[in-house]
Amino acid sequence: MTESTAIQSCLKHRDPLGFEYLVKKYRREAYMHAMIFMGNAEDAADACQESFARAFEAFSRLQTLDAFYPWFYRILKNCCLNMLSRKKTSDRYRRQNIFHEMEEETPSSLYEKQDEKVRIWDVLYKLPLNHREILIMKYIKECRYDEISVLLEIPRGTVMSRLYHARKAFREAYESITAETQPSKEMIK
Amino acid sequence: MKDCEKYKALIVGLMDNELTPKEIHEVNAHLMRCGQCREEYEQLKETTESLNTMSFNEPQDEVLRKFWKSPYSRWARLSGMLLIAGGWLVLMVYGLIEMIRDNSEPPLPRIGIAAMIIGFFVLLIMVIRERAVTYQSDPYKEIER
Ligand SMILES: [Zn+2]
Repeated sequence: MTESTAIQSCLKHRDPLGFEYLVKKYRREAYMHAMIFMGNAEDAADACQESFARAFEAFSRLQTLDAFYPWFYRILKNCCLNMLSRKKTSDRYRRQNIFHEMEEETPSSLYEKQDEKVRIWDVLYKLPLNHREILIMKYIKECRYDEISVLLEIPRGTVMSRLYHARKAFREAYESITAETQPSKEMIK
Repeated sequence: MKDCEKYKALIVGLMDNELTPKEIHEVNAHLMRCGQCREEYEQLKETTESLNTMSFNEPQDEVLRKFWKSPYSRWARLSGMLLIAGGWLVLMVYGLIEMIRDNSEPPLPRIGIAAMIIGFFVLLIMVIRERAVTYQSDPYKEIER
């Protein structure tokens, strides 16, 4: 099965096997993207589960579809934003399940690198959603501009200028958080 | 310089290696002339390069598998359960009819069969009731899993 035959069989017969193919192909990516919005593993997994169920339903209302993921990304993003507004708690972002934190007995040089990573995640999750979204897509998921342009439905020029503003916002937030934490390094944890 | 705004976006494109040769030429020419943009280029490059070293925790396979369950597996489970229950029902009814028709049996096996039949129906009713209760409180019942 290829992506286009899977899409065709979903469109024509709402074929669970075709859909399963698409889920398997994109679930990892979906999870990472849900992470951008939800900020913790449990909520990201919930959002993915709900979005795939919605997408399977939505196939019956669709005439044609060229590529699965850009369409699915809209469903996923919508679902995440709904979930966020439903349970509006300030501490959704739980850094420990976003990336692997090291054990205490790591050598101090590694530990400093780790501190730096902790700080970067903290900064990213303080930024506005559209800045965080595009920064993670470009620099962590390493998408090219044309891929971002399709997923976010904005022209290439807008990708570049949004990245400029996002990078600038990141830099400012990073500098202010560094200034805050620099005097007492123990405070970071 | 008045058209700096236009070059800000291109500066990011330059850092990301995403420009066409013509754009590279344009933005380099501007950087040569404009100290302000050159400074901005250095600053942006320095602080945001750290982003490239980041990566997400990879999700566990068991987490990923939960995202979507094919309705086939649900149908298969349901039809398996129905077949087993149906088979039992047929055997039970057959036993009951045989027992009523044949009065020559001694009383002990007849009591045994009657107990099994009653027990089976009690269990069946309990399972059906339980299913009905969980169905009512299931928030995802409209969503096919
Ligand atoms: Zn300039």
